[in-house]
Amino acid sequence: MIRPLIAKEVKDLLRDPRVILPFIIGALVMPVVGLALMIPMRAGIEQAIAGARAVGLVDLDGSTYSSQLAEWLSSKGLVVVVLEPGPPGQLAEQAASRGLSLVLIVPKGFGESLERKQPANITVLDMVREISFFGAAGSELVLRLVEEYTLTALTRDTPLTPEVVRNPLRRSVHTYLLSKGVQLPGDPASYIALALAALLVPLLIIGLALTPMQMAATSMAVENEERTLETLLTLPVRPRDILLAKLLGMFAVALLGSLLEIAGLLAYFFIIFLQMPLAGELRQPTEAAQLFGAHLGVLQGFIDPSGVAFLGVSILLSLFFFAALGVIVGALSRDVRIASTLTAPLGFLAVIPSYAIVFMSSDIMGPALRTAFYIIPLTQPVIAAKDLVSSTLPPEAPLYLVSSLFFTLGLLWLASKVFAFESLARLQRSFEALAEKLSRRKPPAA
Amino acid sequence: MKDFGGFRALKGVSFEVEEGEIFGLIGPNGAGKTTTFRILAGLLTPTSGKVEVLGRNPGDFELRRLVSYLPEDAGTYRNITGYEFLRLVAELYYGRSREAEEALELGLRLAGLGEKIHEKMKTYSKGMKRRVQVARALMVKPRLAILDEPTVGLDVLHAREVREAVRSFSREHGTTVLLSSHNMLEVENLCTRVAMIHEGRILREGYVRDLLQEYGARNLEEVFIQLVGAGGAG
Repeated sequence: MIRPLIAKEVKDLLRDPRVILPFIIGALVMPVVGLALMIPMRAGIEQAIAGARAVGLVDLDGSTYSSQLAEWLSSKGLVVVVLEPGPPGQLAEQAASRGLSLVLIVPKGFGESLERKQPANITVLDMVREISFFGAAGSELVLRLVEEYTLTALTRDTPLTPEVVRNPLRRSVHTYLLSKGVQLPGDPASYIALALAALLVPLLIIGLALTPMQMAATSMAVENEERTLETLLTLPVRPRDILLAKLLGMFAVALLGSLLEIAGLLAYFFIIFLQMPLAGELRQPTEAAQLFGAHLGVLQGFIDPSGVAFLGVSILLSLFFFAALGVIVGALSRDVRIASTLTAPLGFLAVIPSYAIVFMSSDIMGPALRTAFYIIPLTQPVIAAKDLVSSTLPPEAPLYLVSSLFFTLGLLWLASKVFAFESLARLQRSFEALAEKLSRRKPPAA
Repeated sequence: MKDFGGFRALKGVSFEVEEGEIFGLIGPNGAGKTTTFRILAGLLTPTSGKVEVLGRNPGDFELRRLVSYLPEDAGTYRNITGYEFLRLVAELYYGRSREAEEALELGLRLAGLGEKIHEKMKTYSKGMKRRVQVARALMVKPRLAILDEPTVGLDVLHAREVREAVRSFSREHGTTVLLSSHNMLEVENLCTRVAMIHEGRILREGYVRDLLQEYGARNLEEVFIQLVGAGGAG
């Protein structure tokens, strides 16, 4: 009996350009945004690095060491142009006339400091047209070479090597995670990024869930607004079937739309991270791995693949819950305007318990609250993500997936109990009053 | 009686409709016609009093297969074609069966939109949408059809077509029809018996012919004006 209703929902939504266009635009816009970001980034890096291939040198020291520095830089592939000393304005003019963007000023006493095995001073003058993200990229490259030279000079005639001075202590710090019974390389602080990943889960869910929730609320509110629900409620179909058909039909379309959005997002990341030709010059792969708190190989053993699968299903069930919430809000809204006013704040309110979970330690939570968080579809993916990273998923985890589904269906069943024309009309009046209060609180548009 | 909060929408409504007859409920806007129909369709419950439809409580789920209700301002789905809408209704009543196909065929004939029936309903005029809705209400051959202003929004020719369709359908299938209209002449032409409702009360009920005779009126409009003028509403 529910099949023709689901088919009606899917057709009505898929043929509505207001529903489908945002998904298509979302999918197309993301790669365009990626390109729009990548092109100036690439140009900026190229410009910065190309500009630093030639460097101006003002030698105020006139020592052997300063001459050796110039030779050292030349031997490393840089073009060193000697400039006349002068105030910054004059130096800038000289540099500009010779196409230089970087000037090194070697002050008096540079050689003497190195001779005494003491830190030496050097002034770097970066010529930039404007402050930009990649302005320092070129000077970083040159300064690294200067530092290498000073280390070589400082360790000359000593038993030390530049490598020893750079890394005087070979530390071997490990972290033993009691909850997982695993030893990890590095200190616990290295893994803070992983713990913070749990913070992203609520954001990810709300990002994905707002669209189906809004769609469901709008679709249901349109039934009220267009007076089609009144007819539907007199046909031989149970209220729970009307709600379930609305939810399933809408969810099928929302999943399709989400797939489009995810494809767009992947294209965005592909363009940004993989197609950036100069990215490798800025960060070595090992450094990139360190950014995420650990080596990728360690991560593979650290995160349980079945736990990741659990998280994926849990997120899906959470979206299903949000869609059900949208259907209910839509049913209680007399028109689309009221539904829109109420869904956005409801979505963000729903995130609050998720953040409580992220910052709450397992000791404070207690078993009852923990079970409740696992059963409620809204909080389940968050606590699962946290456990996946910081400890282990409970053995009864698959049961929680089932309970999450039943929680949503139960909510829908409860809603179907008041899903009658008369009670809906009464509730819609209350909802309208609430929406008006919320609208009045918003500041007037400029 | 029916109260909405502090407002009493129906103060005294009582009438009986015989099986197979076309009965008209006539009255001005806000008289209580739609509230009465919604109670009969099981959408609202009366605050007090007793209502029976085909011997059952109007809220009875099984009654939904026997009673069709056409709301006055029934909307349509924008992106569904008239054909798909009629098929949806047919399948909700009969599943995927021969009966559903027959109902659909009847619906298509009643709607009479030709090839337009395969276009999205958002492209339909108000009259075309109404014809699809009337077809939807009758195609399932209900024992009772409650039609709230069935010809609202239709031009003279199409209104006449719908009236004829309702009359012949009732005669052919023995369907009881309960309809409302602002247009008292329309009711006069179509109905055998009528009830006149004003400010939530039934002023008078009877055969059209008898009422005209009793009040010495040329039409039901004159009867209604005489009833209201005589303080029948009070």
